[in-house]
Amino acid sequence: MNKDLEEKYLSVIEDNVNVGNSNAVVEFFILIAGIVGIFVLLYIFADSIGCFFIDRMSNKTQMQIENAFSFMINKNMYETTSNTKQLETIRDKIIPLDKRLQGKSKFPIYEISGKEINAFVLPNGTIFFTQGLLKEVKDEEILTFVLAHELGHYAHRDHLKSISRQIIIGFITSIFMSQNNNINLTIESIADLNGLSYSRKQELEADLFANKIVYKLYGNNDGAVEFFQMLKEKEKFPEFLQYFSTHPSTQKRLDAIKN
Amino acid sequence: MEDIIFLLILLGVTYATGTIIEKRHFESIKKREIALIKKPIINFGAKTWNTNKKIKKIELVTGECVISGDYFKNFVAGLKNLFGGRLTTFESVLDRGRREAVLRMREKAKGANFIINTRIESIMINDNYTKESVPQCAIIAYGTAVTYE
Repeated sequence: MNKDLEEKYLSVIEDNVNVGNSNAVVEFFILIAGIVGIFVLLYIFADSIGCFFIDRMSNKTQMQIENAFSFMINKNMYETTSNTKQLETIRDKIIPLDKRLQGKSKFPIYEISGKEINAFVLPNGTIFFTQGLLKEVKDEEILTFVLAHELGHYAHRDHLKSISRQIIIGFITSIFMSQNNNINLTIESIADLNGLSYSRKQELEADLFANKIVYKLYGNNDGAVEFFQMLKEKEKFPEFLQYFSTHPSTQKRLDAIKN
Repeated sequence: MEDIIFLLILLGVTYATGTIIEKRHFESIKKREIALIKKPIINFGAKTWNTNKKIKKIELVTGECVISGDYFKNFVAGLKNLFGGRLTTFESVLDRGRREAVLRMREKAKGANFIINTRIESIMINDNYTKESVPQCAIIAYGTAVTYE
């Protein structure tokens, strides 16, 4: 064999044209960014459709949907206590202040066990306070703020909006689903993370709603500021983790209601 | 949340191990290809072979290789399925498989002068229709080794 041919073979071995020279990690991040981008667009699309119809929905349709979603809730499971009686008097003060709360649910209030400081509202307007919250907080202004926050979610129809979004996104992600379980997991996690940012927006709006109510009732929002300062002392998460959380960081909420 | 952290760790680890293994494999392939550069000569085209020299031995030589991408490569390829395009992570896997199979065939034909009528074939040996199937490929290279007296 002559030398030239040998050198040619060697160069073929060294310069491989069959393997792409792109970096797999770069490719990975580009693909993930592409999926995130698609889901951001999807959420904007789903939310605009959902909000368009839900904001124009009549109260009667709202009640029908709520009843359809809450047939599982057993009303006899929870008892009223002295704490909830106090909350009920506050509730009766709040409801006449906003048109969107009238003529709908009766907003029953119950207490559930749990050490964490939390309160939430079900699709049919039933409001739950944890024992941890009721133990920590005795001040009426703060309780008004928390209750008004939950009623704010109801007034903004956040429960119906999140249901409509879940249906649209669930339908579209099911098309994306491949046979590989881990790809599905990635897509679902990205969908969840994007959903959280929308939920943080809803929380801030509910805060502002509650802030307005507190101003109308007491003329100041000292109670709410005090409440968030108390929460800030209790929480241990650093602020940058807020992208993974359903609620905005306490500092942000504090800034929002101060202005 | 735990699932996704576990997945990220798995992807990181398999990327590191996969890269190391691939680098080593390419090094060994290059070394062996350079060592075998002179003999035996491979002929991919001819179905008939005419020679005036006396032939001592004719035999079938085969080289086989089953190869799979690592977890990270499969994952990236799975994501690519959504958008389409070249599966670049599998290109290197297929290249490694083919060169390994040809090398094994040539190593088996050591001492021969020619390997004539060489063919390379690939088969998927996994079941595409089950969920747990691993993307993998079997590559077979075969030919007729001719040794002169």
